[in-house]
Formats: sequence, structure tokens, C-alpha cells
Amino acid sequence: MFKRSLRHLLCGLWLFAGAASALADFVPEQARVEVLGDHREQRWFWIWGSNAPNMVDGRAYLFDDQGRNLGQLSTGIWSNGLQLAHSRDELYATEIYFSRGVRGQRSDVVTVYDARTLSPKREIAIPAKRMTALISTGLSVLSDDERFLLVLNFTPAQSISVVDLENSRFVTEVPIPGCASIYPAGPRDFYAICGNGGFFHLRLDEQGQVALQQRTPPAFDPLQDLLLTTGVRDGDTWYFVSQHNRAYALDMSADGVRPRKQWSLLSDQERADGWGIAGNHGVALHRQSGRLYVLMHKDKPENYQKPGTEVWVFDVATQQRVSRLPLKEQSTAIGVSQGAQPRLYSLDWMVPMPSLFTLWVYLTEGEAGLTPLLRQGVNLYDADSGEHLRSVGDIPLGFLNVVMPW
Amino acid sequence: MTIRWFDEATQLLTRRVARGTSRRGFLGGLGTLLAGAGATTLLPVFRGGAFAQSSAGLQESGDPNSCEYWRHCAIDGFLCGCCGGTSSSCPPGTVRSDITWIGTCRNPTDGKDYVISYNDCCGKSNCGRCVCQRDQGDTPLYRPQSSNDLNWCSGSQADMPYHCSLSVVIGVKE
Repeated sequence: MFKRSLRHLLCGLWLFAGAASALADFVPEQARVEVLGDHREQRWFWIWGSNAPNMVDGRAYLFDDQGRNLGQLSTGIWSNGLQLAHSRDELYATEIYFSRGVRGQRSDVVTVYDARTLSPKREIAIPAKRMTALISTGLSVLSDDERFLLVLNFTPAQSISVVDLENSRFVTEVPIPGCASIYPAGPRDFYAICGNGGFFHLRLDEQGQVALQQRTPPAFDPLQDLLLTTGVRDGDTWYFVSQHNRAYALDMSADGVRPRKQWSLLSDQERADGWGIAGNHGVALHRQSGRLYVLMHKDKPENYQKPGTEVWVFDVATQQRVSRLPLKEQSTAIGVSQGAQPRLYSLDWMVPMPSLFTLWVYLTEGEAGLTPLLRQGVNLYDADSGEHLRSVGDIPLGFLNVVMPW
Repeated sequence: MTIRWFDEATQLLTRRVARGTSRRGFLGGLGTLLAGAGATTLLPVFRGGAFAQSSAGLQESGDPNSCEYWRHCAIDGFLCGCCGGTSSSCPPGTVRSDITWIGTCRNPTDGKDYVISYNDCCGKSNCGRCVCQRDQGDTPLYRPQSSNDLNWCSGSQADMPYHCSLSVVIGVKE
């Protein structure tokens, strides 16, 4: 009897000791909030767009090179994306809000985000006039030294709001009748592209006030061909493509705008076959190699903004095409990272279903049946070889049309 | 307004699936593009008259809520006919934009070219139905009078929240 009691006692002590040990080993989780590391040299990239049909809820998503979603910014109604600072760990979004969602008091602000916490640091109020458009290149731009942010307005009177980021204040508004997208050309010089093919040259002084404003002679003939506003830059040279499938190199500096060269993206045969430019933001540049990437497709000329199926790569020094890179999906925007072993990013439309299913839906219900199934995704390629690296899917619906390496 | 949209992406997708079955001629597209270019001389001005009653004597056929309907040749947005309005009237509770972009579309019923005013309806969140993007004669933002990439609710009494787009016939090309 005594032995049995002793055995029970020892057993109980053992169980208690074991439980105490287990409790001692258990460390409860603490809910926390992630903080990003340094984004430089990481091959991270952003995607953004209007987020239609939910434009009141503008968004930008951040991904790493493996396709992992690292975070998100919420950027107000009819977002025009982000401006990514290089000299500071900051991001800028020119945002519009209404006090009652889609009505009430409108307020336009430049929101300064911390690049590591993705939290707003401060807001700078600006006139409630910001242009809202679907092609976002040149709607908000940084000066080369990142002291000033310029915002394009459309009421429909066209003007530029100058914002001093260093002193967190709106400085002045400059009318630019007949002109639109803005391109920086130095620490204090900017050019806005105008309807007559010329540019509006704006120079600021150290306080952000107008030091010079004048119009340049036309750099192209808008009655013959129209430059798309999606320019890409290497130093003083901006590269544009046109509705008639030409590439234009324009030097823009404090001294003015100088057309440097232009060339056809197509041979006569390719033009006859119906090849042409494609996508919403279908131009990218790898500065080190001097390679211009242009999104292309075979379609009617009027469909120049429809998704593309190939990326054509041009050497800007020789104006020769050096490769054609076929894409896995229908692409609406491309981007290229800088440095060695660059990535080619493609922001795509797709039906995430087997092809036979897609065909069956099309044959039985037509396009109307497929529309609700369309999704967006990103595909990553080796920008030198065109080799497909990986796909990123399950991106929330919202008509995203920019992919921007960080 | 303008939204690069699903049905257009669908067009391309299905084109890949049913390759070669629906492509029109390059020259035909170029011709319509040039026809649309003729409209660029009009400026983005107040076009309140565009909201008069349907044009008397205009003969047309087809489904106005289909993206392929002839009036929509330069539209980019949600068709108001699918949102409580029609191709020339805004849905209840929205506010029509007074400034617009314009295009020139050929009416297949009478073979004439008409000037179309693509006024937006504003003040509510996106309709989201019957999205339609067609870019005949579309120009970049620096020539706004015929650019469908702009939000034409800007400057309306409801400010810039975009709901849907109209296709109002405001003139005939003689």
C-alpha cells in the first residue's frame, strides 16, 4: 500500500516536473509589425494603377525578387502612383481625398511615406487641382536633387504646382496652357510636353519660384506623329516612342530641347504585317547597356494601348534591334531593373484557367463570359536573354498598369 | 474618362485563343484613325447642348450597351447604358461633365461620319459594368481635346469622382 502510494506520488511529481518544463520552454508569440530593410540592390519592384472599378481605393503593391508581397501603400482616389526617392528613404504620393468618400470637401496632398515602415510621415497640402489620368508618367515628378516635387493640374486649365519637400510646403502654381506631362532636366529645370510638339521650359530658383519660363520650338510634328508621354531617361537624353512606331531621342537640359535622333521600330514588312507598339506603359531603358525595351503586338494601329505579346530590344547607339523577347502573357506594362543581370518585369492580364477551359468559355459565352475571369499578374524575365524566371499571381483586381523597379 | 479594361484584354486573350479569326485589316484601322484625327480641331469646351434629346432623324442599329456599338469608337470607360442611364443620359443622381473629349465615328446604318461627345457622368464611385475601351483617334494628354486617358469629370459640379461615360452624337460630318 505504501509502495503504491509512493509510486503515485513519484509519478505525479514527474508529470508536474514535465509540465513545468514544457511551460518553461513555451514562449508566447508577440504580434508585431514588419519593418523593411534597405531596398537598394534588392531588385524589389512596385506595381500600381487606377484600381478601377474601385478607384476610390488607390493602391501600390511592393514585391521582392522572389515574388513575395512585402507590403502596400493606400494612395487615395484615382491614384497616379509613387515617386521613389533615391537620396532619402522616402516615397511620395500625390493623393486626392473627399471627406465623404466620393463627395464632400476635396483635399489634395503630397503624402511622404517612410520607405522602411511604409507609413505616412507627413502631408503637404496642395491646390485641389491635380490631374487625374490613366497614363501616369510625368503627372508628378521630382527634381533631380529631390528638393522639389512638381504636380500637374487639370481643371481643365493646365498648370503645375511646385512643392518644396525640404521645407514641406506648397510654393507656387505655374500656368502651362496647352501642355501636359512633365520631364525633369536637372536640379531646377523641367519640360512639359505641349500640343504643338514643342515643350514648356520651366526653371525654378532656390526657393521654388519661377526663374524662367519659355516655350521651345516644336521638336516633333503632332499632325504627322504623336509621341507617347511614357518617356524613359538616361542623363540628359529622354527616349519616347510614337503612335506611328518610331523612337525619338531628345536631349533635354538647362539649355533647351534638342532632337538628337529618331528611327523606325519596324521594318516595312513588319509594318505591313501589323506590328506596332502596345500597352499602357510599354517602354523601359537599361542605362548601362543602352538598351531600349519596347512592348509590341500585332494589331490595328488604333489599338496601340492594348496589351503586348513581345518585347523588342533596341540598341540606342546603333538604333538596331538586338532581340525580340516573347512574353508568356498579355502585357500592359514593362519595367527593367538597372545594373548587372537586369530583370525584365511584365505586368500582365491573364485567365488563370487551363487553355481548353478558356476556349470552351469563349466558344459558349463569348468575350462576355471571359471578362469576369480575367486577373492580373507579374512575370519576371532575364532582361538579357529573355528567359522566364517566375510568375507572381493572385494580384487583387484593379487595373494596374505600371511596374516600377525600386 | 478612360479605363484600360477587361474586355479589351479579353479581346487580345481570345484573339490568342482563336488566332486569326477576327482581325481586321491594317489599312482599315488606319483609315478610321485618320477619320478620327479630323476631329482634333475641336477644343474641350462646354458642350451642354450635347445633352439635348436624341438627334431627330438619326438612323442607327445595334445594341447601345455593346462595346462594338458604332458610337463608342473612341470611348474608354463604363457604358452609362449599363449603369442606369443611356448612351446619351447620365444615371440618376450623377452629374454630367460639361467638358469632354470627342471622336469621329462612322455610322454603318447611313455610312456617314458623326462627331461624338464622350461626356462623363460624375459624383459616384465607378459603375464597373460594361467596360469598353476603343481608341480611334485617341491622342496623348498634351492634346486633351481627343484624349480618352483623361478624367473628364475634372471641373464638373461633382468634381472628379468618375462613374460612367456617354456617347452623344453632336454633329455630322458633311
